[in-house]
Amino acid sequence: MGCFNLYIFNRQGTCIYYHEWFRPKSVKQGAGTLADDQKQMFGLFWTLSNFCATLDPKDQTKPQLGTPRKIGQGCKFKSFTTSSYKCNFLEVPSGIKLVLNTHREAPDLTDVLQALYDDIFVEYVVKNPLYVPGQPFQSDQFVNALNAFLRQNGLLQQQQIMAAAS
Amino acid sequence: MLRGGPPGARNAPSLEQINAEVFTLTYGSIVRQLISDFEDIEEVNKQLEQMGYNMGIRLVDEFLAKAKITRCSSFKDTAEVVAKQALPMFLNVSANVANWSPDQTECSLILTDNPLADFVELPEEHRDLKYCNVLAGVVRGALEMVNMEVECRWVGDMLKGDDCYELRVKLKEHRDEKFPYKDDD
Amino acid sequence: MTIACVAFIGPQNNPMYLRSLEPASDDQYMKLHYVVHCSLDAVEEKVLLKRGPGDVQESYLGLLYPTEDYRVYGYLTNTHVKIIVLLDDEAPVKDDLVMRVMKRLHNLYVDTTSNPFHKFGMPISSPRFDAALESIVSVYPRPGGSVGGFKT
Repeated sequence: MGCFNLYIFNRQGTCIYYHEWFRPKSVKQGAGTLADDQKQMFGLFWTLSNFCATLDPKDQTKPQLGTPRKIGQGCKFKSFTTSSYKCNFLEVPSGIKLVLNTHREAPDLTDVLQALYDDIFVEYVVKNPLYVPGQPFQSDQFVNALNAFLRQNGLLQQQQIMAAAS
Repeated sequence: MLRGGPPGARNAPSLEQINAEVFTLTYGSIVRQLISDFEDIEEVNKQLEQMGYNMGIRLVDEFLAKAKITRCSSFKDTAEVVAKQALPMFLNVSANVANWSPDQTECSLILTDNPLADFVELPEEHRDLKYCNVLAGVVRGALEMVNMEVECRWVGDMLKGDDCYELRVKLKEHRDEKFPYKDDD
Repeated sequence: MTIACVAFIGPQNNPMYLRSLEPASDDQYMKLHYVVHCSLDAVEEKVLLKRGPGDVQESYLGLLYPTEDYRVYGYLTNTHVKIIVLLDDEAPVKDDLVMRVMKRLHNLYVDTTSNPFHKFGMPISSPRFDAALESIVSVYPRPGGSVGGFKT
């Protein structure tokens, strides 16, 4: 039971924050460099969100695949689950995107991500006068609050991560 | 302000309150200091707007977190939300939206009460000062972060004798999401 | 009760505002300045008298002294700004009526100094202050002025 890593992107695609708790397969084996990995992640969600909006069966006005959308238009992409992990996603109207990779059995984490944005990102990052919007940031307060929050929600139990991985 | 408990059971986040007079007097001193630093009233107006812009781009995240608005589909909705939710949340005043242009791209936010300008009396030599220009910047900054490029200017100012504060907001462009990386990367 | 004159004196005993509520010539203004100036001594006396050990400084000083034309009432704010009110007629006046006027004048002063463009130490020249002062004192009938009944 646990989280693997967290990405926070802004509208311009810059990964303004990346944190990993447990990543057995190193980045070099995957995308190559961390920057590439982040770009790929952003591109993945961009494409998936577009797909979802286009394939929405309930939507009257279905846009063509590839047409530019406004933020928040169409249905929202929430998460996908693979055989080894679950990827949870939240996009806020101001363009901030949160991506949290967790273990497979995690419940619907929309509320958790929303709370992460509301209580932790806004409190410790946006309100920090030294934060320049659009630039990557480092903040100990943010990390501590993040860890405490995830621990409270039961998403950060190391022993079980180790057990599941082996 | 971290919450325990099962995910899904969340209380509304609390808003800290501050004494209105402290806020008013602080803003008054900022304006006074800007006037004595820059001496040119037009430059002061620009600086106030820039300060407002910097505040707006951050305030929008806080507003979205506290107000839980998912999205506004049109400029009209956005103007309503700003007037009826954002302004009361941050300034404790409510505004009205009026004077829509025929193509729905321009409107006025009308405030009858403005805590920034309590007790203020503009002297003659600062007649051209737009005292509340920081608000114009905040609206511009906040809307820019939700992809709406707007232009804001004051057309009515109670400090200059008008009967209300009127901020004219003109939508220049409602941008779509653009993939930020080049395709060949 | 008729208010003849209202004056605000700053902490360094500098006159900040003096307004006569009956039409006054320059000579009369000099006289009013003189009366107010003399009343400052009375203010200091009262302040010294009241300050016993453990005494709380009160703002309202009451009747300072009667001259042949006026009766002078004083009020001291905690920043040593003095509000002096000159009353015109001989009729006995209740203290708390004057105290109420003083408190309203004090509130008006506080609001005016909260203006970020107000310069401390300079004479008060704001038209809003003048207008508000008018409205405070116009509750009481003026000598020779036709207020047209009481405003409550």
